[in-house]
Amino acid sequence: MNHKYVSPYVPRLAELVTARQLTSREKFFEVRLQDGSALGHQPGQFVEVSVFGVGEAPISVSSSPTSQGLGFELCVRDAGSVTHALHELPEGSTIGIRGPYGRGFPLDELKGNDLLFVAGGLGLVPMRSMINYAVDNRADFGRLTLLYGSRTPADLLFADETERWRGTPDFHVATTVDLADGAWTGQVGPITKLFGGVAINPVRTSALVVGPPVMFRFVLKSLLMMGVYESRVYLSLERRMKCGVGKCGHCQIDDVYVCQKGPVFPYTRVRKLPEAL
Amino acid sequence: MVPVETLKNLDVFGGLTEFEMMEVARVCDTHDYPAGSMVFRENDDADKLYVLLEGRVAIQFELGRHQDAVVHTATGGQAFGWSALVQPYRFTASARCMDDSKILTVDREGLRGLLAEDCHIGFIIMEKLAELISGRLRETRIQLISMVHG
Ligand SMILES: Cc1cc2nc3c(=O)[nH]c(=O)nc-3n(C[C@H](O)[C@H](O)[C@H](O)COP(=O)(O)OP(=O)(O)OC[C@H]3O[C@@H](n4cnc5c(N)ncnc54)[C@H](O)[C@@H]3O)c2cc1C
Ligand code: FES
Repeated sequence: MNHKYVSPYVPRLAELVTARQLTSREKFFEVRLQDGSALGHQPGQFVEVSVFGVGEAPISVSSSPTSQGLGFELCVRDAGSVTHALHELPEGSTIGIRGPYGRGFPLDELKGNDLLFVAGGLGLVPMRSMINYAVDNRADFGRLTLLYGSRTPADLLFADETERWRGTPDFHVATTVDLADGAWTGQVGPITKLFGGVAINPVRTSALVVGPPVMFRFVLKSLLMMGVYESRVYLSLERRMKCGVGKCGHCQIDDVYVCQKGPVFPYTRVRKLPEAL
Repeated sequence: MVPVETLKNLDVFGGLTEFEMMEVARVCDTHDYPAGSMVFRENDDADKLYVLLEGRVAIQFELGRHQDAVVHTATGGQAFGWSALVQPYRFTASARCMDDSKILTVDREGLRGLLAEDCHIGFIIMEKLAELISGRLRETRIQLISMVHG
């Protein structure tokens, strides 16, 4: 038998099919693997994106595996060297992709439940994958609710799509921003304020939370006060990552490699990791 | 004066007896405001406390000409304009109706008279007010943290 060793560090080549500015800080990319294969990801998983000559960064897959496109979608904030270089690349450029990596949302466990999506800021990027998965498999889930908070109206991501979700049967969408100008007609206040306006059945609800770590504590408190079971709360922890495959230890929290066991964790697991929240 | 029924489902008056509510109802009124109208402006004399019955109201600061920063939206049942009960009785922010809104107003002098006369009404209303202000402070802190770390 002739086994060919393929290093987990060697990326697959991919093309940036489209690159579109979404907000002043975020760009949206449609990516296609050059060998024509599908990425084969689950909602909540991430890929390591390399810009040749600059480096790699972990980025969540934003499209749903159910999406009809030939490739997959990313949404990236210009935050430093790799992400800035990615923003500079023209459409048609070649990048490297490793993954998909990590554990995404537990689709089988979620089936049959009402889903409460809580997304803060860039957290809507991975959440969008899960939301579109639920919309495309509408019969598998009960009532859908999205609570989405962002800093200002100009930072809101996927506004058209949020409107489309609002028009989906039995899908309640509420957004808020921390600060707005007089032209904004929506809610202003922290994301926790949105909990007051939702009618959920806590015993049927699974809550999925993705956002900046500072958001988790406040959101968890609101969820538990509403009566959502701790075991039905899932959080996505975006710790610093490098290899993505459990080798380098960059993402380690206590004894857990987030890139392997996460980024999505049940709250009951995270609660036992003192450094996680 | 408004019917006592108007006050019965409002959190800010929860804890008052029906008789006490009747007393408070005597210093209340309701007003309709069209969308876009100002309920009050920053620095105005805070001669009324407001409770939103229907619609939405933006609480905002005027940063300059034609430039506002909205920091909070009040929704049904929420009290705002608490400067009416706190010295120096000047509004610290402006309030603008985002929708056509129905608002209960509580006359400051009438209410202060009641609070001075009846310490149970005074205690309940000031306790609700403290709850309201502490809730808003907490919200503002979360907003601040999220602006910096979001
Ligand atoms: C599982 C996961 C999914 C992610 N999904 C997305 C996504 O969908 N879209 C998106 O825009 N960003 C996402 N991020 C964050 C993204 O990985 C970082 O912004 C990126 O790695 C920064 O790399 P850089 O070279 O551009 O910046 P650098 O020049 O390395 O640093 C710029 C800033 O980013 C911080 N930073 C550096 N490395 C990381 C890291 N690995 N994780 C977090 N912060 C870091 C630094 O402290 C610094 O403040 C995700 C992170 C993880 C772990
Ligand atoms: S990123 Fe290297 S071990 Fe997790």
